[in-house]
Parts: sequence; structure tokens; C-alpha cells
Amino acid sequence: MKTRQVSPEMAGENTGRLEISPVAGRKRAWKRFRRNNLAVGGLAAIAVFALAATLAPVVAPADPNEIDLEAVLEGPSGKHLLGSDDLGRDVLSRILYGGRTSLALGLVVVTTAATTGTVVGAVAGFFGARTDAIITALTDIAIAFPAFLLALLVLSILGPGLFQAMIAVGVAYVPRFIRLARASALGLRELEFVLSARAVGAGDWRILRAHVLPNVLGPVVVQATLLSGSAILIAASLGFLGLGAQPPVAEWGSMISDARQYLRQAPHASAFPGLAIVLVVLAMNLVGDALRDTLDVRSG
Amino acid sequence: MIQFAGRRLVTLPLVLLGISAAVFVCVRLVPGDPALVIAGLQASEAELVEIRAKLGLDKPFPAQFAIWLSQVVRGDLGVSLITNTPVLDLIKVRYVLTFQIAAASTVLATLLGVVSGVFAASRRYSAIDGVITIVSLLGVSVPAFWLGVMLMLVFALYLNWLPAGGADSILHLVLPTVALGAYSWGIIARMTRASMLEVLNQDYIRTAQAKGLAQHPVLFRHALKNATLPVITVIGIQFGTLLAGAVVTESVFGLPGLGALLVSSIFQRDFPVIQGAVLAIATSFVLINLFVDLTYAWVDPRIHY
Amino acid sequence: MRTTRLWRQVCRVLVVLIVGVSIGVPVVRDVSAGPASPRRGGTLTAVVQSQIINVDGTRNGHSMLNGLLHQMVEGLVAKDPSGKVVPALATSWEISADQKTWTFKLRANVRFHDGTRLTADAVKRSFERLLNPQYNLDRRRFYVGIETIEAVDDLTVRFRTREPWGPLLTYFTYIAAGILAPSVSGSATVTRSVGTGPFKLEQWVPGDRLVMVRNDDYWGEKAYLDRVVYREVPEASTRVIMVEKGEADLDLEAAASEVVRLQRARSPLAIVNKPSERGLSIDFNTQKGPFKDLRVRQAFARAIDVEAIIKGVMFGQASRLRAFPGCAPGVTGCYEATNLPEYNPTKAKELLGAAGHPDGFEMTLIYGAPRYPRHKEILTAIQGQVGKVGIRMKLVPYEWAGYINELRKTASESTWDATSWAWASVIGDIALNLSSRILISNQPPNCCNIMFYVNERVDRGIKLSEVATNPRVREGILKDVQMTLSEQIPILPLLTYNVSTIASPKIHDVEFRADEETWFLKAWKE
Repeated sequence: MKTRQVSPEMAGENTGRLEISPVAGRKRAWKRFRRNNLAVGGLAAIAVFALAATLAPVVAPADPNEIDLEAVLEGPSGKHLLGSDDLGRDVLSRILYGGRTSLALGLVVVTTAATTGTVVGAVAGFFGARTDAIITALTDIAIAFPAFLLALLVLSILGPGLFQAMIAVGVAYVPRFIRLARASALGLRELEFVLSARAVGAGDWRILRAHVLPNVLGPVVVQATLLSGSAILIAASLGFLGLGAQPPVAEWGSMISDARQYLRQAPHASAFPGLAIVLVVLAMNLVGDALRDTLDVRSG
Repeated sequence: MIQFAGRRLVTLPLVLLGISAAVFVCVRLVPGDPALVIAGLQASEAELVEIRAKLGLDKPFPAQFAIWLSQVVRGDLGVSLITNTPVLDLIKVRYVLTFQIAAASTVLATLLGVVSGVFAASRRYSAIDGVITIVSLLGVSVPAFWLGVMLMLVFALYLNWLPAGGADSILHLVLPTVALGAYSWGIIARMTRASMLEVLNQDYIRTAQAKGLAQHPVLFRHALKNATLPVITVIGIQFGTLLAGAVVTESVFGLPGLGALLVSSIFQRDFPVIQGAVLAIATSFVLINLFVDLTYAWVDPRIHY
Repeated sequence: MRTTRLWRQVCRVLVVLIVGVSIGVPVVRDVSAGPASPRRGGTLTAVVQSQIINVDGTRNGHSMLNGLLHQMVEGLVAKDPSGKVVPALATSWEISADQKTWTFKLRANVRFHDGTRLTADAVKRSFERLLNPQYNLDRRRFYVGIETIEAVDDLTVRFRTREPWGPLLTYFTYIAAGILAPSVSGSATVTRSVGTGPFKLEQWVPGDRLVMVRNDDYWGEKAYLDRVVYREVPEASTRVIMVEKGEADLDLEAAASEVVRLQRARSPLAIVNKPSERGLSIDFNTQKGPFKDLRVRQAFARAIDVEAIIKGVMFGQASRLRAFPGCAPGVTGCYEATNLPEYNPTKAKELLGAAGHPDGFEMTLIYGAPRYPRHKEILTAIQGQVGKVGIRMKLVPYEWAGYINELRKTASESTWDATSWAWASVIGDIALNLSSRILISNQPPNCCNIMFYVNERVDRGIKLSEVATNPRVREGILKDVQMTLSEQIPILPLLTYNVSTIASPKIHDVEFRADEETWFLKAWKE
């Protein structure tokens, strides 16, 4: 029951889908990006965070690991701008130093998961039939595999550590991206530009690389930026297994999960690192938004 | 389409077999001995050997798996190694509760998310868009326990409108549904917005608008159909994830749900419970994914499998 | 402490006193006080964190669970709230001259929850189940000293032990020696605890709740409450909110931070705070690594400021432990050490220098998580403190199953230099803990001399204490053993946790016992 619907080209509309030269295309893209104020703001925010994290030893007002058992869970004050945590350590300093670990974690996990998932998903959606069936079955298995068990498995094979936490969380995220990329690829497969590219003699892989993948990126970028915050929080929840940053290393996710016990007594201990995560996710989303616009070939 | 659905249903048992086998092997590979958990730290090695033999844990993996499989096809999911109560009973109650909350929060999130996403997209860069963007991003990045405890403090304690913990009545499910819905809403809203923007930005739409034509219905509907694919995908993913149990929210609200069961059974190396819970979750995922795939084809008839 | 904060606190206290006195508002009160006349009826809901993993006292359990089970299952003897042994299902007992035969006379006209009578035969079967080697019941090892059990007549039971067993009565008060009805004592697994207690099991949903109803055929004074419900709520703040709202009446495992918050907020909820038996310690690997040397262990001990940790990390909800972990008021055989190394970082550095580590050294401390309150924070604080004398400590957490796996590794396989966990006395006598953790034969892969500590003299002492029937002699032996241990510190005791309960002001006369169990026989609800 496949009725061929009218496609834009057949209706005689100008799709604006000219083959622009790569260089000119990139320049136009960057110009468009720059015009989007929010995107620039987002990028700037990320840059500020990254810079502050890198320069933490210079910028931080105190030693992030300096324990002061006389001054636990104190609210913001002159001495501790954002208050002190449950061991009397300066929250601001820990946020700054923690930024290195957390930003890296969020970025690396999400980028690797997105990249892997997108490629696999695009292949599944594009090639269809048996390839799709196999990949879908494997994805279903992967998605149903309990994350906690996966973490234990990573732990037993690779041992404890931050990098290992990234792997555990990253692997858990891959199936999502596979499903997303596959959905887009399925929709794109029958579009005219693909059929015409084939008619011209382009091979499957070239079409995949040049046409399908760029168009699949839109939803993937949205999902990736949204998950960056969760990645940090999930990695922290695996901390008790030994995966992830261990004391005394500061890390936003573990700061939040450690402060869970006294949410009512001292909300600042989890609120400020939480705010940091929210701001980073917001910034990444704004950038991602603009990135999608610029990459969206169909909008000419 | 029917053929496709049929083919997928045929592979369903294979997938279930695959996930069951994968989990079966993995829980036994990971260090940690259920006999030790059951008998306690002070059990002697001799006692542990006896217990392992009684539980059939000394047999080779394939043999153990075959035994388990033969029981499952007869409907017997076995007995918990820790509490000695039937696994099926344990899972049934929890699955129902988790399903109720997952369904309610996904429906809520979908309705609100799609509406707010379309709204934000159509008024891009306006104040409304900004507000919706920020609130949906908050929903996604605020830690689950924070949201849960805050909701509880405000609505259960200070305003006293709703109960705090447990799952005794419908009212008990309201706060957890809202907490989980907030996260899903964030994702669905952002995805809807992004997809709508892609639609609205497409040249031929703009050309049609420039030409003064009201949104050309046929073209617009096309683009729209294509744009809904990622949204449907994330709705499916979210629903599935929630069916597997939202551990943190269950913990905060004291809900005896599937997530808590899965985590505690893995923690205690309670093999039969782990297998049973994973089987239930995997079945849900496969069915949801199948449904989502069928929805793709229904929404965008160009798609064929 | 800053002066402004102190001043503010003083002002607050004064205001409270004045206001309280004038209005008569109760501030923080003990649950036992209150209006005089108990009311019959009502449901008491207790929320707990620990899982109710079984309803069988002969298996692995913990004090909350033991207390729960004690409402339904009773033993021949019991402990009164202060810890003294008193009659329960047995009305009297006699010990033979050779100290190896104990004869108990049972109470007449006692019925199990299923209607069957309590007889000597039922007692015999219950114990035989516990001792059955085929059943592999966890607590069997406490009672292997029993050789035979004989039902002399309908209401007389005789036990013969292999060796004279001094603390037999104490062991018989423990839940594992509770008498189960013959209808359930015939199998290894018990999923319905049918006993003789003041409450009967109505419903058990593992992982969710357990419901008990009053036993109206109880042989003694009937309970006031109609029903007692235990609900598992893992989140500490949720439990307190439920009590604050009235959805629950008791939070039996209240978190230290919540207790402090309620105290500061002058909440009308009743707070019961007592030292528990759970003693946290640092255990050293005495056979491999830097802690082979006693001086290094002493240096570590001197680098830690436990008082500061109790104040800052535990919010004051713990007490310094100077005895063997598990010791608490009411536990027999304990000796409070006077020779434990005290906080002195300078001395610590000296000791390290003398031991050949002038620049400190690196070490690994493993622990099982999450298991004990604030454990990670306590260890992090210790990490910071020992770091100041040059000991660079790496903290490696394991989830519990993985942790106990690590602890079974032999000395040559062990991967750690120190570990940390908490022990309670379980049956109220410290000798059990000593034998478990110090005997040479209990080294890994057995349990639990995970320090690989080998001391022949101490070993002999512990074994002697097991057969000594003269209490004074026994005490002397145990004191000697504990003195040596506090000099040698294979185990460095740190602190004993408080056990805290938060209660609604409507609840009265709940029994919070020395062994951390909570009993409801006399409890009533307004």
C-alpha cells in the first residue's frame, strides 16, 4: 500500500538544493551562526566554564580538598562564597576544579555515544531489510540490558576509574542514538535527492556519508545536548561502585549525590553544583540549536 | 506492514532469548557469589559449596541456562534466592505499578511536550520560546531526587495536598508522575521544537509563504510527517526507559517498583529475580519499539520496511 | 565555633524556654512520657530503610528485622529492656552439676498462631530445624554447641551441650532460638513466621511492607495496637516527611542529619537517640604491606582526630569507641581500653620516621558501599587527616557482594592495606565477635580475621573464654585479650553509631531496647 506522495521537486518548487561549493557553504554557515546571538552567548558561556575549570588553580579561592570539620554545611558567607559542603570544603572551589572532570565527562560520553549510535543507526535505517532487522534486534537487547549490570561488568573487566565510568555511561546511551538516527534515515531513504544521487551513480556509502548523515544530525544533536547533564549525574550515581571520581576529587555529579542526604538542611551544597550543570546544559542546547540550523542543508 | 509486524514478532522470542542469555552469563561473570550473600559472611567454604550445589550454581552455564529456560516456558520463573518467595509474584505487582506511572507520565509529557514544542517553534526567539526552553531544560538537567524531594516538600508537606510516600492510592502516584514527566517533557518539548523548526525552515515552505500561498497543505503535511519521526522515537525511548523503572524516583517516593527490584536483585546477586525482571523489561522494550516502528510507517507512508 | 552562632543558639534556647514554659508546648520529648491511659486499637506504621529480606530469624538478619520478628516469635527466655535474661516461653530452668545439661520447664497453655499447642516436642523440632546441617541456616553456627535435645515430658525440654556453655541463656534470647510452630519448622525455608508472640503475621510483600495483627490469644498481657505495619522507604528525608505528615508514626532508622535538623527546628516530633552496638573500625592488613609494622598502625591511629569527625561528619550522632567494635552498654564481656593511641599528628610523624617512612607512604583502603551511614564521608575525612602526616590514602569502594568477595582473598592475594566496616555484637556478648574476628583459624578464605592477625596467646584466651563457666574468670580472660588487642591494634576502633528513632507525639510506650530492637507489646496510639 505504498502510494508515492508528491515530492517538492516534482511539484516544481525550487528546493534551493543547489550544489554549493564546500568553502562557500562553510563560510555562509559560520556567518549564520554568528548572527544567532543566543548561540554565540551559549558558546561564550561554555568557553567561560571551560576556561574557569582549566584555570581553577589560579581562580579558585581555596583548596578544594581542604577539610574543615568545624565549618560543615555552612551557607554562603564571606569566607565561602557559595558555602561549604559536608566536610567543610569550599563549594565554589570544588565547582571550579570539578568542572574539569565533569565537563570532560559530559562531553566525551555524549559525543562518543552520539557518534557511534548515529553511524550504526543511519546504516540500519538506510540499508533496511536484513541489516535493519539485525541491528534492531541487537539494539533491543542492548536497550533492555540493565545499566547497573553493565556498570558492574565494565567494573569487573576494566576496573575502577573515571574513564571506565565514561565507558559504562556511554555504552548505555548508544542505543538511544541508534534509534534516533535510524528513524531519520528511514524517512530520508525515499526522498528524491537520494534517488537522484543514486541515478547519477553515487554508491550507497557515499550517499550515506554525504546526504544521509548530515540530515540525521538534527535530532541527534538535540538529544546529545540534553543528555550531557544526565551523563554527569548518572556517572556520579555509579561512584559507590568505584566507577567515576573517588574522594577527594571534586566532581559536580558526586557533589550533588553526596549532598542528597541533607537536601533540607543545606540545599546550597547540591543546588550550586546542580546549577552549574543546568547552565552547561542550557549553553550546550543553545549552541546545538544554532549548530543544527547551520548544518541543515535543506534550509539552503 | 502486516508482514513487517509479523516478521518482528517472530524475532521477538529470539531477542528475548538473546537478552536472557546475555544477562545470564554476565551476572555469573561479575564477581560476587549469591551463596555468600545468602549464607552470610561467616559461612565456611564447605557450606558455600553445599549451597551452590543446592542452587544448581555449580553446573556449567549452558546447563543452568537450559534448566532456567525449561522452567520459564512452563511459566515458572523460579523463586528468589534471598526471600524464597516466587519471582512471578514479586514482579507482577511491581510491573503494574511501574507501568501505571510510566504510562501516565509519558502521556502527560507527550501532550505538554508536543504542544509547548510547537508553540515555542512557531514563536522562535520570543519570550515564550525562551521561557519554554529554560523550563524544559530545567526538567532535563535537574537531578531526579532534587525534583522529587522538592515536589514532596511543597505538595505533600507544606500544602498537604498529596501523600508523601508509598503507592497505596492514585493520589500517591501523582507526584512521581509529575517528577518523571518533567524529565520526559523536557526531551519531548525540545525535540518537537527542533523538528518543527526544521519543517518551518525548509525552503519550499518559505517559498510557498513568500508566494503568498497559505502553508501549502500537501507539502506542509509531508514535512510535518517527516518531522514527527524523531519525536515519536524519543517518546518511545522515554516510555521504555520508564518501564524499566526509574530507580531514583522510586527510592525518593518509597515506591515498590521494577527499577528498585532490578537494582536490589543485582546488588544481592539474586539470579532468578534478575532474569525475571529483565525478561519483563525486555519484552516491554521490544513491543514498544515494534509499535514505534509501525507508527513511523503509519505517519510517513513513504517509509517501508 | 563562631561567637555569633553561639550567641544565636543561646538566644534561641532562651526564647524556647520562655515560650515553652509559658505556653506549655512540649519541645522534644521521649516517647515513653505522655498521658497516662493507654488506648486500645489503632494501626502503628513504622517506616524503615533496611530491607526485610526474610521472616526467618535463623537466617542472616539485622537488629531492625530481629526486633520485628520478635513480635511474632518468642524464645524460651528473653531479655528485659535493660538486657537481663528473664523467663519467656520457659518459666524456669535448671543446670546440671557438670554444667552440660539444661532443663527448661515450659509455660502451660501457650498456643502458636496456627492454634497448635506449645509443647516440648515443638521446641525440640524448632531447634532441630536450626541445627539441621542440610538446611544450611546461617545462625546454626552459634548453636552447634548443643549436642542433643530431649522432650522429657509434655512441658519439659532438656538440652545437652558438648562442652559447658556459659552464655547459653544469652544465646537462647536471640531470635534464632525462637520457637516456631511444627507446621513451619519442618522445612528449610520459612516464609510465614508462625510463633507464639503478641502479634501474628498478616501479610508480607517483600520489598514493600510487612503487616502484623494483634494476637488475641496471646498467653501474656495482650498488645494494645490492632496492627503494626512496617514499610520499606529507602530515602531518609521521605521517611521523616511521612512522620511529619502523619502518614507514618515511627522512623526507626532516622538519619543523623534529619535528627539534627529536627532538633534545631524544635520539632514536636519525639526523638529517641541512643548509642547502638554498631562499632566502626579500621582494620589493617597485618601480613602484607606497610601495616605489618605496629608503629605504622600506631602512626595511623595518632593521625586521626575521631572527636572532630564525630562532631563534624556525624553531627554529634556517634560516640568515640575505645573498646572492641560491638561493645555497648548491655553487652557482656567488654573492656574499655585505656591504652589506645590518641590524636597526636606530631607523634604520628615521628613514628613513621622511626618505621622507615619519613616521607610517608601510599596505601589503599577498601570498603563496601553503601552500607553504613556517612561511611564515605568519614573515610574521606580520615583520608584528609592522615594525608597531613604523609600517608597518601586511596579510597576504593566496592558494592557489597564484590566487597565480601575481596575479603575472602588470602593474604598473598589481598589487594588492600586497610579496610573499614562496622560490627554489632549480635547476641549481646563480645566473645562471639572476638572469636569471629581474631581467631587464627578464621583467616580468609574463612571469616572474619581479615587482618590476617596471628597471636597465639590471644587465640588461646578466646578459646578458653568459650568454655569458662565462672563469669569472673571469663571476664578476666576477655579483659586480657582485649587489652592486648588495643595495644596491637590490628583493629582500630573509631566510633559507635547512634540509633535514632523519630516518632509522632501520638505514639507512646514503644520499647527501644539496648540491643537496638524495637518492641511493641506495650505500645499504644492516641
